[in-house]
Amino acid sequence: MSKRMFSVSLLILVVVLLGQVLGMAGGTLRVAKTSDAVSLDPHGAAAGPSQEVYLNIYETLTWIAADGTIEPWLATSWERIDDLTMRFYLRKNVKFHDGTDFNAAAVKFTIERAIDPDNPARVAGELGPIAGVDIVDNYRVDVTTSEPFSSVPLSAAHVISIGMVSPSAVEEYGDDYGRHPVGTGPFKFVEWIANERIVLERFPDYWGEPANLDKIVYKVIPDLQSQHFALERGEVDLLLNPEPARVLAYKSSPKFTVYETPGLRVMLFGCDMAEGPTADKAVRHAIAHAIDANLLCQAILEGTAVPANSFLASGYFGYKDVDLGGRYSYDPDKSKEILGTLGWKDRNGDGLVEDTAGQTLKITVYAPEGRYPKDRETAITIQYMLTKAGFDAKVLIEPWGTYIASLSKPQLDKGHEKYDLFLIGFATAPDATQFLDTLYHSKMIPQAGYGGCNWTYCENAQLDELLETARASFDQEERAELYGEAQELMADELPSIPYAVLEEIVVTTTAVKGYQIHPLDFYKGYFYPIAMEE
Amino acid sequence: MGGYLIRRLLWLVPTILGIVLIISLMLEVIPGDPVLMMLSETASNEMRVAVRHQLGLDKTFSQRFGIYVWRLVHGNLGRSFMRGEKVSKLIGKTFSATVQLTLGSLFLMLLIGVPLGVLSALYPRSKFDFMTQGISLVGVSMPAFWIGLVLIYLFAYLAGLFPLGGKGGAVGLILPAFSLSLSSIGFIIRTIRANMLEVMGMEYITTARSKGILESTVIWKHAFRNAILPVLTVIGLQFGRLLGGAVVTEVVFSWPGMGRLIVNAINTRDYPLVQGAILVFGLAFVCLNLLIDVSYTLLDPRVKYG
Repeated sequence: MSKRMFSVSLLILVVVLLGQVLGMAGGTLRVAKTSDAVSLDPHGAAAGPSQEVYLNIYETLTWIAADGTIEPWLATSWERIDDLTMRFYLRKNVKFHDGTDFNAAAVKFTIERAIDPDNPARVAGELGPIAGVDIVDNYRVDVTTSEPFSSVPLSAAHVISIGMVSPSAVEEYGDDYGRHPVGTGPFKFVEWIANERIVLERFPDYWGEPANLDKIVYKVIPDLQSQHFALERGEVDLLLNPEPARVLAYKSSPKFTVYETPGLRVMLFGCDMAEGPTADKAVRHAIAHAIDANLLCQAILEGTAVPANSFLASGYFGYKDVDLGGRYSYDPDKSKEILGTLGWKDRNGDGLVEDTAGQTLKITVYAPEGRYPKDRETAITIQYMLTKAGFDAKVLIEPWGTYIASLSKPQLDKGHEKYDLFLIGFATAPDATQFLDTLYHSKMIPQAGYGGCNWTYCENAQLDELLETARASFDQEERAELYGEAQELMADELPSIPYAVLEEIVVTTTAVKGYQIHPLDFYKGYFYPIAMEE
Repeated sequence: MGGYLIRRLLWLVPTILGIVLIISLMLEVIPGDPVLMMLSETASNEMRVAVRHQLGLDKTFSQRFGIYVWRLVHGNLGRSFMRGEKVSKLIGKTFSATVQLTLGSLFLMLLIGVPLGVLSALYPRSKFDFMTQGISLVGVSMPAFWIGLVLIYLFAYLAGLFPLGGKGGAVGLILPAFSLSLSSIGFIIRTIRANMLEVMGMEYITTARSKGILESTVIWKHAFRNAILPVLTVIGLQFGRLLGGAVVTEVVFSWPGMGRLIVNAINTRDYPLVQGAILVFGLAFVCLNLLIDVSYTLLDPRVKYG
């Protein structure tokens, strides 16, 4: 053995022993991922598969705790200067992975890049009316809004659009930055082989305690069956998207740990409130009684969802339980009774209701395929449920790309028949403002060209007013009350019929310690606290 | 021969233009909008218009087509809408994986299919022949993804002989290549068997035998060389099918090939990526057929191109 080799070996031995003494467990976490990331530039992708990775590389000014409270992160505190200005005090001695300092200039650079009118971040819409950033000094910034907006600290936690990027790295890599991500997070980027794997390693100069894990390896395994095999054989340690049908088996196995929590995605059937039978509130009530949400959650979604009690999931600020399940309990006879009072009765004994002229009550259910868990199966089951309640129901299923384009156009331009109900799963940052404004405010009704997402064409002056007042208010108690009122109003109006809140589920082997599940889907992939047991 | 080659190569130019025009037209016709797929549901109208402009989607079809061809002439396939990466880079990374899988399964197809086909022709209606026929029927009938899952379960999960998936060395190639080649094996067994039987009944074989030539020489030199010619055409066809039709196998075996890339690009309306990838497929297919046509002249002296 040469002298040089000897000293190198000795050095490695010392480092390893030192690691043991200091309690650094180290190790590699191997994660199965169903789809490859699209871009590792937080401004460059709107889809979940990229977001799952971001939080280990990037950090934001604020952090959303699992209970929804906003906590300090890269900002240590913040205060409201006036109705249009929020001041953030930045953490000092923070470095990007490339050695660049994190400071006010980096914050200004990141946020203004995200809201660049010529090339906005893919999810910049969720930031709210943020207008710009003024640098006060090296560690203080003022974030300004174009209208009074109380959720700035929440928006500041939105890693999928304003994870802090290193200005020098963005400049260096230009259009290819999405392949060379540089943030301030506990892990730095090593390599990305398309459709195969993404590798991150511990960032030793992290501002907090360096991470326990040496490495994170994301393996892209598109087939859920193959993911299961890989977990069973110990080729991966953690499944980010386990197959619902297997979750029960994982729970009863001593080899695995299942982490689950109700998430933020609300599955709902939107009603066309502008035209057709669903424009009548009583018909919407009849439809709500015809839908068995418990059955959908248990049998179709295989227990990976819970019935919705309101239009929001419980993880949103402003959520109020308005007991949708009790109000519109599953009762097809009740549906028929309501339809009877409207003149729709089963006159020929075929089980479907008819009007005096003998016309059936036609309802078309429109649904995407392959976008949400069991979307197609849900639509087909709903058709059966509606038929049992006397409706002449029909389903129209299209691939997601076609579906979302058609949903965003006015009914006349869609190029296919009119539908009355549509299936969508909606989730935003966990505050009622983004969720309810986007989906139900009348100014978001789709128009020619690109429209908003108020696909129900809900146009209710009282609801608009409640939402606008709550959006502009800085009094959190008042806001909660206003959103409660809004949900009560909607529970009667029923612009949509929420049927489930999806759970966030992660399965690990028992060697993975310290993992914490989070209702936000992109927080689900945060692996900083994890340590691998020997 | 030289003139023929030059003419065939010149034909590549209109072929490429044709491929590009047809894909562009098809992308124009299918419903859906890349901007809606890229931005979150909460995006404002202004954001969508801005991104639409940035991608150049607010230009007319002929303008966009012109720009695409102009860039193509300069060797630029553009950037993927969704991933922001250069299309040429994305294709370069995945094309090699696809070629590996294709060559691997072609190799297995020839290795297994040709001997089985010849043997079953030599002993027609024997037990061996019936067995081979049975195997080829099963191979042709079973969907590749199902075969793939069964193979993974038996040989990777239970026996642990192979990796569960992903690209990694020659061993990792065996299961996906085999599951992909199984239907081609069935096909090639049947083709060779039929050809061999036909050739073996020809008069020149009887002549050769009557001259007292060794039976093995008759089979391999006289019969087999003639029976193998149509197999070349089959190889060409299978090559094209394997290049384009491996999506399901790629999913089951976590194989980072082009099939998944294309399907994903179509689903997200990533126009430049779809155009680039289909163009590369088309080119590969055209070149391969040219190669096969040329190899005919080498293998069969009767075929000449003037």
